[in-house]
Amino acid sequence: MAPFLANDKPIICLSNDHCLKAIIPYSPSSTDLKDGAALSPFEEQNIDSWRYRHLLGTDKIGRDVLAGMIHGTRISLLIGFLSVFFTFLLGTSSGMLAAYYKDEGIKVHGYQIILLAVTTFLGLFYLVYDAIFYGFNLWMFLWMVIMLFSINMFWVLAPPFRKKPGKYTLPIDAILMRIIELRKSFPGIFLLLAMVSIFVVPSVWNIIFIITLLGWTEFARHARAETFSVMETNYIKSAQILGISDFRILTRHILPVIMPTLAVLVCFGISGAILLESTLSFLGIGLPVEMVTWGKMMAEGRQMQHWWLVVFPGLAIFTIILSLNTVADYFQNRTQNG
Amino acid sequence: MQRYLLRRLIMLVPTLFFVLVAAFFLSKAVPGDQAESMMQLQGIRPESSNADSEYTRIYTELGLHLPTFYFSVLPDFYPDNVHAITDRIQREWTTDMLHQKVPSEYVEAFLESKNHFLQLAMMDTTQVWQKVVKIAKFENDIEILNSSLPMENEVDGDSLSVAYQQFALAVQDMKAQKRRWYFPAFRWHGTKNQFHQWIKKIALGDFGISIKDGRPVWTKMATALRWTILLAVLNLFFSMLIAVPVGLWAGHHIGSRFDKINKVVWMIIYAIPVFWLASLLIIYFTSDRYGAWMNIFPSPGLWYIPEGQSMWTTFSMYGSQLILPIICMVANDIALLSTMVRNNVAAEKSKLYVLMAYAKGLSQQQVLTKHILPNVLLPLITIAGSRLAAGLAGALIIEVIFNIPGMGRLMYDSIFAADWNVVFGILVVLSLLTILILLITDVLYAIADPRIKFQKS
Repeated sequence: MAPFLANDKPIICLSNDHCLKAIIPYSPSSTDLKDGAALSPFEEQNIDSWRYRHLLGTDKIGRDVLAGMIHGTRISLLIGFLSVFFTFLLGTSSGMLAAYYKDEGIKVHGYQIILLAVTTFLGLFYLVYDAIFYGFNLWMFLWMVIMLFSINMFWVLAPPFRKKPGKYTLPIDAILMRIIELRKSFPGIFLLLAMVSIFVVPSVWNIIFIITLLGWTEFARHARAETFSVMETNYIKSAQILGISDFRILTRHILPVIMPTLAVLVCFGISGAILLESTLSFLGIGLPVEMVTWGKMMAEGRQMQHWWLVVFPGLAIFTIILSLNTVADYFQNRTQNG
Repeated sequence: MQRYLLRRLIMLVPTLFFVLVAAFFLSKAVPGDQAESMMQLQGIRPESSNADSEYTRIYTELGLHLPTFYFSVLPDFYPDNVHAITDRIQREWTTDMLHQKVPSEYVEAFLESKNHFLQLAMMDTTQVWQKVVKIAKFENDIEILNSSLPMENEVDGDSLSVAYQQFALAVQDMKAQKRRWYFPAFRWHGTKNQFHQWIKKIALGDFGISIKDGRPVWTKMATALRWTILLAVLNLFFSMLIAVPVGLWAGHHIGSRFDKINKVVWMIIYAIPVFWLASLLIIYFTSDRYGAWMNIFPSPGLWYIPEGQSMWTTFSMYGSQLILPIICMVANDIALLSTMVRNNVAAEKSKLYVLMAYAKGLSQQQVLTKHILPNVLLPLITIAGSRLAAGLAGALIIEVIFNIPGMGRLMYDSIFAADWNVVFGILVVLSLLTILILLITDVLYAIADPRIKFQKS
């Protein structure tokens, strides 16, 4: 979308004279040499026609602020939505499973524990060393994590293994609580900065990966708490007595009930991720240098004391967060009123 | 109470261990060579004659030659400990080759013959060198060397051609033995490892020295920590001071006009990014560019106060500097806290004991202060603890923007200076502080609310 809104090259050309140009005739990286740099929006501008006016001014090397903001939107939204998508998947599934089976719910045999240990060990081993030998790739990594997770779930929960309950209990709830506590004992943004700085080549995918890694425990905590309260109700007990499979109970009986609460979290999660991204780029850490983002424009505006570089991108972040919070508030009211 | 405390402390041990492990492995994953930057700090130039021996000395002094952890799980073709190679170039080559999945014994043979060969083929070294690098990456065959060597037609006894033959053989071997599959191999290293040494030093308060200026990391952190704690405590104090009464009032008069306006206002304030607010305040209110009356606050970052000032002057100067940062920090927290208090009051008001209190004939005032308030304030202990911990982290951006020499500012500067000892020292110290704060809040809560300590888990 962004290249159609702000682009210094024509979008479609029928002939040399008949071209369709974008509304904002500037790219985020194209510099306006005629006007010089750091134009405030109200200043006199040396332009051919009103169409070429820099509506929100330019930055210190003459790049159009509005074009930069439009392209920055893409990065912010990408990071916000994708990281919350992964966070949601990981957090909700682990939280629901922990609350559903609690500490005593899963009875396993000795051989199942061995299988579990072996697959986890091998999975983590190849995960790490493939990343070292072939380079880190987010999609490959996610794929392997999902594989590992589902294989482990298979060893524990697949019907043939559960026909006869085993001797040992698997305290998955306690394990999850430990992980959540571990995450809580790190000061968030400091850990984020330390993790971002280990990547030699900055990229958007690294940020998504790290935000997911740091954020999923919050989802897990809430999903767990919500599932706990649903588990108290009688209809879940009746469903269990009727012999409906655990998977079906989890997805058809529990998930729809806790969904509105999770929707609140999703909204807050997206706004939180966007805020983290803009904080990171405001600090100038973690995103590629040539990428124009809201945070970077604001950092420059603060340094050079150019108000238009601070006000407009900040307004964009503010608007997104306010609207997401309003949606979250709507969901919250709905859950409270039943 | 003692049993509860003991249980909490025992539960703390694995958390502490994993926090340290995580910080340690992050610090090991960071790019760059620690010994090399230490060499620069000590003023040893890399081109000087004793650079190699000095490098080896510093490398062993820092304990980098030890294995990383108590045990290692490495691919089976790896050597026991790559770090034991003290020669920098040798180690880099070895790790490069290992990453191409060449078994360690063939790497050794290759490197030996390569060094021998390169020593003899001194002429036109850079060209030969580049070709050797390409061969080692399996990008080119060994034959590309032929054209740049003057030895083709010479007698077989020539030492260069012998070295070349050996080198070619090693490359061939290496190529043939390149692994496709690999298996994990478990090795136990005992307590003589980097992690153990690191932990032992940290327990004594020794976080190493800063690469930037050679000062101990701990002294740098100790001065910075004061500011961060001051900010976090002030933030908690002021946000509580404002949020609790506002929340109580709004919750008590729920649905009134005050409540509605209040909610909208805090919702808007909650959506303001801290760094935006801070930047705007700095731009508009610290200079007279937009009118003389707008120059209300001192420009940020003047933390130098001359010696011998009276306490009052010092206090007022710091105070006027701190107003803007505290406003920025507090705004979001008040929004969060007051909404929480309001919702808690609203929830408590509908409970039966409140109805009972009214039925007894108590006045509204009495019900609010004697019955609702204690029940609302109890959960605030936990919230206050977590806000205090969050304040430690949240101070980072404020410190960066307002130039306050706290932990966040130090972290930010150290990341850009690649001063990793400081970065991970800060991470460890702040994590320990966070754990401590959360522990204290839990214990306080258990003291205030006896129901907690009898709960299971």
